[in-house]
Amino acid sequence: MPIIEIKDVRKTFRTPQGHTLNAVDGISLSVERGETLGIIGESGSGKSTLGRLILRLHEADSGTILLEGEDIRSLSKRQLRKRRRSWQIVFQEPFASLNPRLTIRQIVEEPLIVAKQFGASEYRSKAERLRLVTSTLEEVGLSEDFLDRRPANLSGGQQQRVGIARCLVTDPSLVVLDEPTSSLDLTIRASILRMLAELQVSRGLTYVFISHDIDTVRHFCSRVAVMHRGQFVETGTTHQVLSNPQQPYTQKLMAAAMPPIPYSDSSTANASSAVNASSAANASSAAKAVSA
Amino acid sequence: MSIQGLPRTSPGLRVTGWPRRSRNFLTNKSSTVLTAIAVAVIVGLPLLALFAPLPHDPFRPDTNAIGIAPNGIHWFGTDGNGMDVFSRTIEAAKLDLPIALAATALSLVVGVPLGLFATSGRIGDAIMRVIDAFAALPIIVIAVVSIKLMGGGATDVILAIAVVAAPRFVRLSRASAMTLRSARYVEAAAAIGCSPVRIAFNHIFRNAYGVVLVQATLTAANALGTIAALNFLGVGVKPPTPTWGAMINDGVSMLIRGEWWAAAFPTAAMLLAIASLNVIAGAVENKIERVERVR
Repeated sequence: MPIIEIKDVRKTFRTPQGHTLNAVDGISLSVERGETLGIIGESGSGKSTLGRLILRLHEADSGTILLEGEDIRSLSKRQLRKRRRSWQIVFQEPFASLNPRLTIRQIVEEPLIVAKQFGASEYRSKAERLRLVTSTLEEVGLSEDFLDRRPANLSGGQQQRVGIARCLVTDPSLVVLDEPTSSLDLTIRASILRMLAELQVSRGLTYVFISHDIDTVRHFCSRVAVMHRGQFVETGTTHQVLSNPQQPYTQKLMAAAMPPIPYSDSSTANASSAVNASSAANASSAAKAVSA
Repeated sequence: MSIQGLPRTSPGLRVTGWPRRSRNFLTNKSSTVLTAIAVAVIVGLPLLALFAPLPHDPFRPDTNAIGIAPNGIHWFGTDGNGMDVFSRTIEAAKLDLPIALAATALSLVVGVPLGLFATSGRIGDAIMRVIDAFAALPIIVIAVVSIKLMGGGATDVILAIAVVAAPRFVRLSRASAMTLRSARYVEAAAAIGCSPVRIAFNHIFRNAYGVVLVQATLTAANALGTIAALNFLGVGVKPPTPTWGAMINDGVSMLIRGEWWAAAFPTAAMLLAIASLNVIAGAVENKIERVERVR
């Protein structure tokens, strides 16, 4: 059973000028457990909206959305809130997505407190919650020293690690990564991506990776969907789509991307196995080449 | 003051060495002293009335000492009934200040949640229309009528003032909630399954309480004036219980004979309390601004 199965999902926004905008216009897709689906497209193509529709952070106008076999559009608000611990999202702007008044500990602990309120007895004890917060922070590369700091005292990369810890602490099965690295500089981008790839293996995560950066997607995703004006114009394995694009729009998008990086060995990268260490290392060497 | 809680787009944009805006002629140190004095006045005056021995019984008229000018025995003189003005001025703090603070607290407790939840939907719109209607009515008239209708004790005064002050808190917290509702961390809170109540308090109010707090101290100062006005008009707490407003009323009739002290001292006490609350409001605002700048 696919972990995500959506059929003919539509979402229309009304602009202030009174026009209607078909942000997501009849999209169907399915994602298998443990894989990484990349969604690429230019700004305004509806890819972020799609990510939010999948998690019902926006309400879809029509279509069906099944997550782990559950029709989330028919869940009550309360049932949905209870299930949210399994389906998480990492946002593009790490600082904006962290409440500036809370400490890192409070931020990462909050999902556990919410789960506790929904009857998760394993999170009842404060000591247990602290243990989980600490171990999750460690998993994303942050020591105990960060517990009592606030988001403003962290670098962009550290902030994003906190955002990732917050989404992992309740042990989710599905994570939507909404351009998680696009506001970070290149070296940090590589290390965050490498970490996400490792976490995917160790925790058996399924990712939906939303990005406008073709190079990142090439290294990170097993399958890719190219989105344009609310529709998928081309889908397939990363290798198929990015090495041999069939659609004119995909070709245009590829041509508009930055030229291939000198000295990088991206042509030899095994694009379909994004989770292995070699592609992550490859991402970091590419980053080094650019920053050099 | 910068807008509360609106995250900067990038931490890298933080401006360093931003010049400290001096909001008054006072230096940092003397404004701290001033704040300490203000807090001492607000907390100390009622405590003094409660626990300190007053030089005279504030309720006992002395027919042998009517309208005496300030002297060594009656520090602030005596009023038209021969009651000691100093003792009554202090005694009045026991009632006036707690009523003002209680009314403010009540309007906060009622107004802030209403504002946080009235941001959308039909119920929210309905709440705001009621608030608009309230704001259109003349404050003092409503207070006088409602207190008269309710019978007129301290609790009625608190209720009336709270009802009059609450709309301001509703608007203020609603405005903050509207701004912060679209903040990314509020969306993140929804994404981890936080309830609307939890989002409202833990995420929105936490980033907006500064403005509300400043407004609260100013409201308390305002309430003091309103209480005095009510007592001056003879509504509210019944004589001979001293309140600043009632004392000023009594004292006004003595002014004509040049006996200024019976009205002047309660007026001064009231002004001192109002000024103190304003100083506290300024200090709160200043403190918040500093916190803002550190982040």
